[in-house]
Amino acid sequence: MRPMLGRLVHDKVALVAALYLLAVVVVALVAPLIVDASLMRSNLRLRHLPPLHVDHGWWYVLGGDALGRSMLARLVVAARTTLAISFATVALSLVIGAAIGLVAGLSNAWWSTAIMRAIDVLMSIPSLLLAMVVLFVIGASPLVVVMILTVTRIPIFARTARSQALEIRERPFVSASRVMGASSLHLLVRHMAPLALPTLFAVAALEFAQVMLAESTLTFLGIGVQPPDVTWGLMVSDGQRYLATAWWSALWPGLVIASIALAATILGNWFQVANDPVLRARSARKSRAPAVESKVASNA
Amino acid sequence: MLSKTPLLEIDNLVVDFETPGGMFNAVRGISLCLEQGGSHAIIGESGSGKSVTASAIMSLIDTPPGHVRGGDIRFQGHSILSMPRAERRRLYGRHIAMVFQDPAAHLNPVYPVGWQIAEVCRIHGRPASEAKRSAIALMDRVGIGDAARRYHAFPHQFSGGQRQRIMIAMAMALRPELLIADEPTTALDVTVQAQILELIRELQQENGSALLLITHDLGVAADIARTVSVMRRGEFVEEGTVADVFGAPRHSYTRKLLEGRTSSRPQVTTADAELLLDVKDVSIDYGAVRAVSDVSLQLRHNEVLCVVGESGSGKSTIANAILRLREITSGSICYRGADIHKLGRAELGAYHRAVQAVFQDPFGSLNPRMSVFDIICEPWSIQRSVLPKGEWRQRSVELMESVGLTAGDLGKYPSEFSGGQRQRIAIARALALQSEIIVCDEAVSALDMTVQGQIISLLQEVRARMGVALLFITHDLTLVRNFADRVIVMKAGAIVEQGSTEDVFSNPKHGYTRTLLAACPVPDPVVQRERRDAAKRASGGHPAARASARGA
Amino acid sequence: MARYVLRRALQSLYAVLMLLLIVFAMTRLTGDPTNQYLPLSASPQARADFAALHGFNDPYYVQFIRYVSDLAHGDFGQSLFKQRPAMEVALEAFPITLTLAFFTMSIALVLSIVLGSLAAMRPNGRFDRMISPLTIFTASAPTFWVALVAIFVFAMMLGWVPTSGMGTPAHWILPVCVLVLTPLGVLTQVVRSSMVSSLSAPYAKTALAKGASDARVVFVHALRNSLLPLITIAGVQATGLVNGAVVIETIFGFPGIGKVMIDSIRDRDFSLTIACILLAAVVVYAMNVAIDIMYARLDPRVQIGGEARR
Repeated sequence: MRPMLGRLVHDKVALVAALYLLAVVVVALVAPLIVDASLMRSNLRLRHLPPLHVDHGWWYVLGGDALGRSMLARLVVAARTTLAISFATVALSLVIGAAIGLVAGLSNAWWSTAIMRAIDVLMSIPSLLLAMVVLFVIGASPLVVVMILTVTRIPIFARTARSQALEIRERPFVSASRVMGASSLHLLVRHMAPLALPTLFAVAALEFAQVMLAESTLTFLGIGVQPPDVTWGLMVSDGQRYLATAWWSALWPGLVIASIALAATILGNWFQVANDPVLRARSARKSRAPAVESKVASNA
Repeated sequence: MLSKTPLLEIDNLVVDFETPGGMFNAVRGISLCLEQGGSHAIIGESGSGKSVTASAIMSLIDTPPGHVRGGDIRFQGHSILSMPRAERRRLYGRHIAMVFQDPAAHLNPVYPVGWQIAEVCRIHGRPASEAKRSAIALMDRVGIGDAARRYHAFPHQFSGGQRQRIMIAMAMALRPELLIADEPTTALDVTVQAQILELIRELQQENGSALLLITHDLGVAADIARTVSVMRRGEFVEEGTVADVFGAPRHSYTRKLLEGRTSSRPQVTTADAELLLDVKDVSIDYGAVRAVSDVSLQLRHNEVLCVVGESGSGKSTIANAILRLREITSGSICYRGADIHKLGRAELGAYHRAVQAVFQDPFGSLNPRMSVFDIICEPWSIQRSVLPKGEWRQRSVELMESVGLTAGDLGKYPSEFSGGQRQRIAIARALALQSEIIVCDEAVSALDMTVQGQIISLLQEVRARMGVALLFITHDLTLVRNFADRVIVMKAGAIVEQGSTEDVFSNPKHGYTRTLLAACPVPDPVVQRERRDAAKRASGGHPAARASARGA
Repeated sequence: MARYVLRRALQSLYAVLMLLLIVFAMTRLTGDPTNQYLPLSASPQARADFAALHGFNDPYYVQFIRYVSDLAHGDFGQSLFKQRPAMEVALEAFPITLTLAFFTMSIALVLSIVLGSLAAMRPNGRFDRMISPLTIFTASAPTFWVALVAIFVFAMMLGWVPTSGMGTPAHWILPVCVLVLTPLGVLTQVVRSSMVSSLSAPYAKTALAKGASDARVVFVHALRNSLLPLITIAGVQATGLVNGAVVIETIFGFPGIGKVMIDSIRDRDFSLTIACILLAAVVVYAMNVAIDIMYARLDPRVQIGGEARR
């Protein structure tokens, strides 16, 4: 754990990304404490208030929306819903997908191949289409959104977990454990899962970004979360109508989404490199000629 | 008197590498002179800097992290290091060529082999049609049968030996004045190795090329080179003709290398010792291929049984079957009279306690995220009845000390240890359940020569002290002589010879055993020349090419 | 080869059937199916008539079989709003989406190869340090937002291009440029990292030892090997492209499958929605088969029909 933190501090970009995400999460958590209910009520005097003026208080520094509510306040409140949906989705799909993938990778039974086939099929259906069908029929609510997004994200975790498991089980220490009489459960818990987790976490960070984008897109198109729940995607959709006159209504929410997705992606990439010694060495190198790896032999 | 410019001159070369742990001095000022048509070998173990030297001549050192800090390399009097890149490119392939260690990785998998050979000609200005013709002729010369058709085949469609022949063809295409061969035969079977070395020698003599050979194998050096340098930690510790250096070594390191890996007399076990393992007529199919056919062997208490064979012989397959890592198709494997495939749950547990393994790859044998303590204790956490948890700490310390490590090492992680040390940890783990049999599957093959000797000594010690029987799988016959009680030689899935070590070595009955014994090069140039002459007399003409036509 | 294509087509068919099953299950098992077909204001009597007419009271498997066979015959039902066969409406919109996707994917592939290779030649060099952040950004920016920003800046403020609609080539510039950003970002990263791998592979050393120039090592030896992972990921991106097309068409008012689909959802025009979804899915499967075939042609180690790369 500690070497990882050390590496994080070293990489300035990843550090900034991590701190930014942390700040966003904190803000989302304390939202009810800092956002006064009055900010969320319509105030038609302030509708389409331009940003960067503080005459009406700090809360209106980002402007007012179509109903005169504080953009900043709405952004903060929307953070809760958006982040909650995204975290829940990623957590669920990570657990379910990893379990499926690891077990499928370790066993050679017919059903594990069948499950992976089903996963492949799921992966080839455009997620948006699937989500649209389900949300159309069942009706949109944050819970349904989480469920359908989870279903579309499970394949990625399952595939990653399975390919990790396939690679790990070929390693001699797994054979050594088998020779000691280890059960499949022991192999899974003691060897597979701990070695696969770092990659899975890296994928989780990247997926967090993707889930956020997917949720925002769904909501933007009108088939995701509905009012009175508010997410950033919904805010962009509301602001689209006033693009020419009140551009800030659409800009800020989208910027927030983009920046968080960016931070999560940067962190995910960093995590992947930080965990793999080979990638670490390669990324630290700066070459002039086409990179040619020489063998630096360690002490015998 | 005009002094003749040496073909290759290395003048006090110094190469450093930036590593996370500081500056690593890979090469610390070596000097070398190679005449036209000469053949010189640089001998060293891993970390000696020998490959870095070869890379420096070919400008293949990644800069950074590698830096040539001092000295010069001159080819036909011109400094390579000061040359502009375009001029250097004109040299490589045309006047200086290189053959690498792992031909599978060094051939581009998506292009046909003939195209890759012809590429050398094309790069240096020959028209495409002429290049193709040369490539086909070369493939024929190095012994790839049906060259015109196989020109279009891809690397994965050839065997290891054939791939190396292709690399040699690529290197010799433009008849370079200097051929550098970096461990050219290390990845190959020993019989194939002999043929490849012969091929290199023939081509060298035909073209009048000079040869710079990089190797860790003294026998290989004795076979091909006239002069030799022994390299250790970036410096030459001894130089001279092969006869001088091998016949009368002056430096202690050279002596240590020549000593060989096993020196003590083996323990002789009488035939009355208890029969532990009885393998009867076992065949193992791998899909449609029969990997092992009708193999029978027996392992007795405290015996060292070595199974020797090349790749594809089935030796590892039968070992995996004994370890129950693989199913058998027919026959039976009995432990103390009980068929291991018909055991109940409790008896199966007992079998796993009785038979343990040490594998080839020291880096893959230990889970990198487990501490050494966890690794040693894993057997006890699986087989709970062997040792109560309270005694784990004490017993693990005892085990570590018995393999030459310390109690303080228990808290460390595998990445902090060298290859040899990791194998020691693997051996300690194998001893944790007080097994009767330890299967060593190429357990020392991935280690340096000197380290191999240490691990073999450790195994001998373990055997003497703890009364375990060892089933030792290896491809290296020379390892076996002072170590095994009995030897089994396998080829293509079947046993071709079986007997006590003395019998097999002094009186080999099967032709393959004789070939195997003859093919292992020994560090004595006189013996090597005699063997070569004998082989030539036996087959007449080009033994190298003929063997390849059979697909070697 | 033909056998392989047939096998893959069957696999895709299997996937399409699965999608149909999901759709079917969704509609029949979640309340009154007439809700999907009739306007909300329909009377209970109209619903009962409709249900009897369409056999909603029959056992489920009968319904499913009838459903699939209807679809196989091309009968997707009537689009409520347009008063025309749903498939007809969908097929009209189809070429627009296809053109959009085709252009975008081609541009993304070509550009990513160029940019990724250049970045990989000098890892952590100037070009790489410029490109890499950009690719991460474009890969993680929401398409709908970028589209709005682009419209605002280039159409509204600068007036260089029209804000929406289709018609002249100029109308296509902004949509394609925005849609290409995400796949371009992802694919450039893929090319870059696989090129860095290829360039440090042993066979690159061999090429240098033969006297090859840097250009030859990059474009002849490394690139060919790097195309393989690129094609794999391109297949995944093709699926995502459909998602992006939906958004772009909606924002820019292109009457492609995506826009028709969204409108049909808003209008609760179920038959049309299904027709569009299935058409879009077929497009994705066709693209994936094409990609598989391309991959097999490029990698001599893969037997056609083998699962080597999974």
